[in-house]
Amino acid sequence: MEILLRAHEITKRFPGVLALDRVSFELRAGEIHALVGENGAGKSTLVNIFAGSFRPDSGTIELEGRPVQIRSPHHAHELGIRAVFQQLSLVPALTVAENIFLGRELTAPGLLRKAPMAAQTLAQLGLFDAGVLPTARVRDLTVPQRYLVEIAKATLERPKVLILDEPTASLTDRETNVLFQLVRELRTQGVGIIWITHRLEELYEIADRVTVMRDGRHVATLPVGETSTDRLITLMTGRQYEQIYPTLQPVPATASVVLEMRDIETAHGLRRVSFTLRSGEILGVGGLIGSGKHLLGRALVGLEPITGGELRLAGKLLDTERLSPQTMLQRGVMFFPADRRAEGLLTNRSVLENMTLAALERFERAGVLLDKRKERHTVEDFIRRLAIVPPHPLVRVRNLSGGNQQKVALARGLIRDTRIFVMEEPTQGIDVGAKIAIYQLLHDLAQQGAAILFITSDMLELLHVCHRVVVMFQGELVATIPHEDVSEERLLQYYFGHRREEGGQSSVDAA
Amino acid sequence: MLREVTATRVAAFGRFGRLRSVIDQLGLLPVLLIVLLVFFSIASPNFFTRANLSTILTQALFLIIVSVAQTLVLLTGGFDLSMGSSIALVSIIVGLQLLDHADSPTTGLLVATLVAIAVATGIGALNGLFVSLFRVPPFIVTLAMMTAVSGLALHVSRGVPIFGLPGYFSSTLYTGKIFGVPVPWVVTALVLLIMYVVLHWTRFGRYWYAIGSNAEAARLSGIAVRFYLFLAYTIAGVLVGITGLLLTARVGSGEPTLGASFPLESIAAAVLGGVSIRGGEGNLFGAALGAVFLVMLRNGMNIIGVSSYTQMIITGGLLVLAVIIDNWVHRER
Repeated sequence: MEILLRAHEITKRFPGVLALDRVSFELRAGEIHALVGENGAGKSTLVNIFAGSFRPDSGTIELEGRPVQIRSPHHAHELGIRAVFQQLSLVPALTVAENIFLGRELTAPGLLRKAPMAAQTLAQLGLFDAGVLPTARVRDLTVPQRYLVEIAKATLERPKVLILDEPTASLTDRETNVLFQLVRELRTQGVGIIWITHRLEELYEIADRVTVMRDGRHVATLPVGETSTDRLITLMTGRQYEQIYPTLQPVPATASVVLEMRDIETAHGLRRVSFTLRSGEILGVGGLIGSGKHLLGRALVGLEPITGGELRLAGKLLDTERLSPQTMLQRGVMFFPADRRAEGLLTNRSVLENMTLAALERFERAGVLLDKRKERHTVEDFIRRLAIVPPHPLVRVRNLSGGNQQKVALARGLIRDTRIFVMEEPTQGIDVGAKIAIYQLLHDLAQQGAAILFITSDMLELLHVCHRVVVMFQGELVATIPHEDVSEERLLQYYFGHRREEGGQSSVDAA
Repeated sequence: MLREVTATRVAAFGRFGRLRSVIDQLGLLPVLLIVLLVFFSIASPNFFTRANLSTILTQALFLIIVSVAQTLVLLTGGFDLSMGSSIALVSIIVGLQLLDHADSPTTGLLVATLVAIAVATGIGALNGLFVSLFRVPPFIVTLAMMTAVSGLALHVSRGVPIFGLPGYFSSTLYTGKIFGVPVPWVVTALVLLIMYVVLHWTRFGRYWYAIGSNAEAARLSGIAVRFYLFLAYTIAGVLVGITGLLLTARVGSGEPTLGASFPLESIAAAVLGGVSIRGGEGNLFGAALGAVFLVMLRNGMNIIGVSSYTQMIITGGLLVLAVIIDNWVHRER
């Protein structure tokens, strides 16, 4: 097959860090080439060089056999290289059509030709089956819809090379399938696709070859058929992992119910949701995006107003009209949002300040001045226990990798004696090594009697990390499945609305 | 370990990483301050004299306190444009009160101090209330407050200064000394000390930094965000009241337009001193140093004969420059 893009011995140095060390990479026309590696392995740096955001220090790049120097993102576009990053480039206030044609509007001398632009947008969007109108404002779209619009924008003029950075991270299975189809279609047209992902399981479904990177170096390039998840993890981490998921210890039969929701309703979505959570239990919450699984966690800490139903903590009835993150925290319930940078962390403050933020009163002497020595010792202790890198309390959180950021967020809950952890997508966008550490940590916490509400879009986590799984569909809790009975097929059935009473915990309303 | 950390920091800053990292840690200000000192010392023999340097610092005291107040609000991610007119209103009301107590120094000083702090704290609390409870952007709240309070000061004074304040006022609060140190110096030092402790050794400071850095994260960590926002504006008001009192003692009359340049100058001083206009970053010593820098610049320009109009242009340009540097150093990648 024809080599479309070839990078030869690319080296890129940032002050103090060798981000890419003589990395070579080949992309064939009509190939979906997965790029995997832990955070900091150099994947982003490499594709940013292809996309024109960085210039390499040394090494050469050839496009269709001709040496090129990609000078800027604009130049990359001209060469036919388009990239879709996690950070979307859409303007929220503009419509879908305006966004897709931004910078390349069709004009009749001086005036916009809106009709053909709308028509082309519609045709382009038709490919995605996303239910989006060209006239819709981007700010009104859901996150998956925005992502599909972004890809529609990137593929409007058929690119030669399409770079997708974790394309499925924010998509549900349905949209993921739409994307798979579209990408396969592009492949048959001879587009070369670079697919960065943390979800190894999807490689087998979509990719032709996979390149593994580690510590800024190229480790291996293999046909997907000749590899396995275990092998890839070993290549990525450089370590042998018997298992990613720790062995589940059963919840003691005597464990008390720490949280009970009964017929909870919210103004924007939840309908008569009931479930219980026991001490020492990891309860998975699954469902498509928009199914209400995220509302569940948010309602619990007062971020979504509850309009009906009962909420009990350790048997004590709470006033659902007066819930707030503050009062729930005082009762030992802490919420960990999915978007850590936007909602969870003080990214420009230090690890220390982030960790102790919710527990400062513990470090006060005589109720006024902070005991900084004690505070620092505590933080250093947690940095050691959670193996946070770099192991320094005063590093700013924005300089940490995603996995280490999540550990800092978790530590904030640990320092405060949290009894119930409400975790929203705790492993989203973090590398395998950090995921393993976080699974282990959650298991240890459960062993010590904490209760964990584990809200996730990663089906493997529901299968392997949780004692029980509840599935949300259109705001209702449609199934409760014990660990022994969970399977992928079963989850998918419930994801798409199949209802059945399970295990005595479900509250499916016949009406 | 430290070298590793430095490497991580530097790497995180990307292009010109080392320079940005150094500026991030130390601020550009010490360098600028030295450049300024050297430049004016060469330009005029009257600049680098003991008397002139002492004048600069004395003049800077008032701006230092206001800049500390401004820093408090900036840290939470807001700012306060009404500090100047607040000082003017304090000056007028203090003036009127003093005329009523011309013959009883003790009562006069006590009343003057109390009303000064009460008036400015009230204005700060009102700002805080609108910003926190009603979620009006600080720009709108404090701009409106600036206009309204300025109108009030002019209305109460009928637009003319209040002269004939009793002599004990200035001789106590401006030229008076405590253990041989002039009162304004003592007050400024106390303000710096107390606010340093509050910002860095109590949870109040942590919470203000946290709110300015990420208000949502602060809320999810159980912080009563609205209350602490309200508190920041209110405490800033206390400091503004103290400044209004001291400044009135210095000029010796109740002035309806006193302190008009303070809002902009205090923001410029704080941002020059490394306080981020976007909140959650910087400290009050940087802001204080920024205030000294601005006053020194003005003093130097006066000495070498730069017209006051040109000076305004330079101050304005400097504020924009400081914000550009702030963006450059603190930009998220």
